[in-house]
Amino acid sequence: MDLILLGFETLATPTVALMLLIGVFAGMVVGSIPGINDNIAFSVFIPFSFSMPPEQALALMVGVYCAAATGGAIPAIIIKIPGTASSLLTAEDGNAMARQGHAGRALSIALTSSVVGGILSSIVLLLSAPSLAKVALKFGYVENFALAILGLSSVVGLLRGNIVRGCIAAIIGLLVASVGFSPVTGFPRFTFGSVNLIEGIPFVPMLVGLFGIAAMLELKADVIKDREVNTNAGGLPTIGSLLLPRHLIRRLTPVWATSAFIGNVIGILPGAGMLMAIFLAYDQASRRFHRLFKGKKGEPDWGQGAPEGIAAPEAANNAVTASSMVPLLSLGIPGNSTSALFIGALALHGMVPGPLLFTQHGDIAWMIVVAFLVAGIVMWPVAYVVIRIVSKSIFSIKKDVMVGIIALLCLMGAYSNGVNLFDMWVAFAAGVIAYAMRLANIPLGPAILGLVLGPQLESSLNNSLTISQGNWLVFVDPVTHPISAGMLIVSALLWIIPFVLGLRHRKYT
Amino acid sequence: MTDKPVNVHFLSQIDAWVGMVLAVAGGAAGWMASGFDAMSRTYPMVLSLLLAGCGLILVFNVFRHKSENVSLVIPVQVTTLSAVIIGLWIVALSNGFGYLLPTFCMQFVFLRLCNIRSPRKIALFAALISGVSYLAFIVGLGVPLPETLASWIL
Repeated sequence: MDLILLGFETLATPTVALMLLIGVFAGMVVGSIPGINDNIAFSVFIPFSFSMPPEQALALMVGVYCAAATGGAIPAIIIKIPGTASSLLTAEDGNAMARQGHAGRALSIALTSSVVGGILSSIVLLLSAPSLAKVALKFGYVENFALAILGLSSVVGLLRGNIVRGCIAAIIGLLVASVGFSPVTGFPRFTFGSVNLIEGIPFVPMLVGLFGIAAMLELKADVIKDREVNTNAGGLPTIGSLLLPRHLIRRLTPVWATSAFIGNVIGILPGAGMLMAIFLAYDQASRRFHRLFKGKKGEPDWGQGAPEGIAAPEAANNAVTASSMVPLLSLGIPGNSTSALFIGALALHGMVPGPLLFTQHGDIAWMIVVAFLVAGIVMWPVAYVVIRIVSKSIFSIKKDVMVGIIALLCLMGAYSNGVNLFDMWVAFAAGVIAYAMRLANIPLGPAILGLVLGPQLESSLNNSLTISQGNWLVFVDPVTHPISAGMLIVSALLWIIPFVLGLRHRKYT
Repeated sequence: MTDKPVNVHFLSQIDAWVGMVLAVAGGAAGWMASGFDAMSRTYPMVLSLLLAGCGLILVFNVFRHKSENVSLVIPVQVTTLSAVIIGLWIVALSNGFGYLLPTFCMQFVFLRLCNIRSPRKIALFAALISGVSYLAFIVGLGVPLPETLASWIL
């Protein structure tokens, strides 16, 4: 309890609280620009956090992270163009409801669902991250190696039908992470004689490039292909009242609970991603709608303005935001790609996510946890302001203007990291590689995880083998290292189960 | 000559190219890793060989299943143009041309390439973006820039 109070105390500092508020507002505005996803929103705010004290910078980033996913629902409902990928499904029922003259109600359902999902996942974060971190503090080299394997397996194993590509991505990440001094002998590896690479490829510029520059290239390709949709076509619907009727609150409460549960579970799994959560929650909500409301008088068809179709994906995507921080803050494993960017934000201020964060920087760690809860609460009034005042101006922003701005912000962000022009080249090269990977259908998630877990994997493997005098069985010894053995068994199952299911599926079809 | 249709089919699939690139990259990384000292080489060597192996699996899969055929014309065009624009911008920054002029030129070209027709509008947007970003990064956040050719160059 004292520690939670410590988090609140740090957050209650006026400048820190203001930064959180600015982050929520900015994240919502950027998230509601069609075509700008939450990763870009996060990437472009990284440079602004450089010169701030860590608590202010991280409060800003928490605000951006939480609000970007919610902001994406606004254009999804009003103009049927999802601001972020997480609002993909909200666009269907949300825009249908808006076209029926209930835009205010659709927005209100989306915002309330986001707030409920966000708050519930903040509670999960509050309860589970510190406890998990306490357990993780007891880990030695052997357990850390098993943990890294578990993290990688959970990502690759979840890519059903795409395991080879998942492996390729993870190996690329691990190989890139091995650039620089060897942790064993200090021998410089893959440095090509460059002093800039001796300590490895700079992490923050690389992340900014992987997300920001790659997205910029994709956006530019879209503009060239002339895929731009006229966002003002047909005019914007009248928004009307944003109040949510009580009967709708009663009706949607079970949907919020189920979707937030799904979002929390998926969020905790490393690399599972927001999309999986929203599709599962949407599917559950669809079943409920068909069972209870379909065909009843005054009820629309599914996809034609059903409230559950808005509530489920929005509650689920916001439930993922805070819960994806559970593995990151407690174990150092990112729950999704945006939370991987959080590693960069922490690294800028000399902090490493993982169990030691709670002991070495307790005030900051608890402030982050508490900030997620507060961000969830302040999201509603901020969203109200964004919808009422700035949404029309936001929708008039064209993608083509954004290309140069994103490129500039990302490159300056990369440069600000170490005031080194080499970092700009790193960001650009990383962006090109990520763009090529996207074209080749190679997922980015496992690569990010490989980059993050690479150093831990190699050093814990080396140290474990040195201590055990080269005994590989030390990792699966149930007597001396039961946690490691357990984690490796789960890792093996994560590989075997999708494979067996795939074989069964092939047999029956 | 008789197997020409098969070759055309094989090379027109993106997975074939990706697989070959990965196999070559993995092989090259493995070869480089073989030059590291004995204790530092095993880990990168294993990863390199795994990468090459996965690349070969992709190539092999092309023969078994038809993969997606993606046109690379626009991506190559976009990447090349961006590389030239961004590369010239970085070179200008590092050679003391200051921030404002190179950034204005970069934004001007980006906007021009992104289908904005009116030169006056482009110049206005580019000037606005350059000015605001200068105020934000250099004045506001105090990010130091490389030394300029003359002290009056911003």
